[in-house]
Amino acid sequence: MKASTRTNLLILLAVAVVAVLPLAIGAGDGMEEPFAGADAQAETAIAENRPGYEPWFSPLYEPPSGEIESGLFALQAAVGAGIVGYYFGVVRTRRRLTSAGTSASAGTSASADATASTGATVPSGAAGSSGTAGSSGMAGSSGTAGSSGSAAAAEPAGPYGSRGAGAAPYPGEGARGGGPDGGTREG
Amino acid sequence: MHIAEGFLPPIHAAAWTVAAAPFVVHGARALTRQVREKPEGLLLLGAAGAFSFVLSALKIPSVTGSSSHPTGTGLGAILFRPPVMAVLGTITLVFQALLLAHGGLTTLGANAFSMAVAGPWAGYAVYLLARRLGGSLGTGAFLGAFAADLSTYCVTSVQLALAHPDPRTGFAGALAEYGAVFAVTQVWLAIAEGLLTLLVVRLLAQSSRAELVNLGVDVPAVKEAKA
Repeated sequence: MKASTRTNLLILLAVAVVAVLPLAIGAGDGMEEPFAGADAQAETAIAENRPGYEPWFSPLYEPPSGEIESGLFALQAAVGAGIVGYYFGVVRTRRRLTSAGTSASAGTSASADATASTGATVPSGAAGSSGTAGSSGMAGSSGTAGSSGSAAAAEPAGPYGSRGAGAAPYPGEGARGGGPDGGTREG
Repeated sequence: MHIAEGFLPPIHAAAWTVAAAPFVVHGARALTRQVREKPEGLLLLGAAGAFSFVLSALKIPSVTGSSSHPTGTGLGAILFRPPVMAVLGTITLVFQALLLAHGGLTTLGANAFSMAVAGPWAGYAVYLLARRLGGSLGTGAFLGAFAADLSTYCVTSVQLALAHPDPRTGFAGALAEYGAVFAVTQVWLAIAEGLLTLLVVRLLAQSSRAELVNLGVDVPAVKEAKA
């Protein structure tokens, strides 16, 4: 496992510990309502300071039960987590296809000339795309990268593959907006 | 945990709305400009808003024996500057006020001021300070997110103490009371939010270095991760 991955997992573990520790040490023991929401406690404190205070406005819509409410909270978290996950999926696929796309286009344009193709693939290999890119120019020995975008697109995670494959012809730039057409698309 | 619907007297509700409105309007302009000038950052912008959406839906227990939720505004403030976060945070608050009866429309101004204005600015300031003092991107992100989270609830405590002072000890006594409810509980949660923000920033620095640099975030040159 890479060191950075290990650090990331450790951070995640630390978050879990922070979330679980109050429960594990029984921080809510002996309380009337353990782990009640801080806003409910604030309402109690307000009622003590201002015994006569009545909220002068009530919510337009109130979830009819705790179940519905927790469902809506789960929905909120799910929508948010889905978008965050989508972002990282797009970025990951874009990076893969960018490195694969650079070598694939180099391979097709220069496939007639073996020397030219090896020449063309050197910079892309140096740019950090992985080992498969280097072998792409050789028609026979080509790995995933040499067999063009479609095969490379099939490999990284599913649904984004097809969209990303369309972006592969713009080497070095992202699929959306970052490409040559992205800058001019305004308004 | 935001101020519940109807729990601020009308004068206070109106005053905080007036205080928050310019920030949100200015933020909306900044957001439009951001999208127009850097459309390639739109996806990351959505992710930063979504991060706040997730975190403010998660109720986490604290060592004080109560529970509350983080705000998730520190990340967006660091990446896109606080004005943009004023809009994204307010969107989250509107969603919760309308669908979850959490927070409220009359208290939206006060809650927006604490979570979408004060928190992001405090977090961004702490982030900048940490970076200026030589802190790494990760250190800055952790401290910034911690500050954004905690300061939000300190402001909430001040808002409540102004509206509902203690009959005997006045504003100061009430501030201590509400602070004990909100701010002390939140210290623990702010640690969790700081760690989560640190994690996301690490992943971003690895996967989207170009995007971060494009946004003006000072990212150290990391070794290319194997894609």
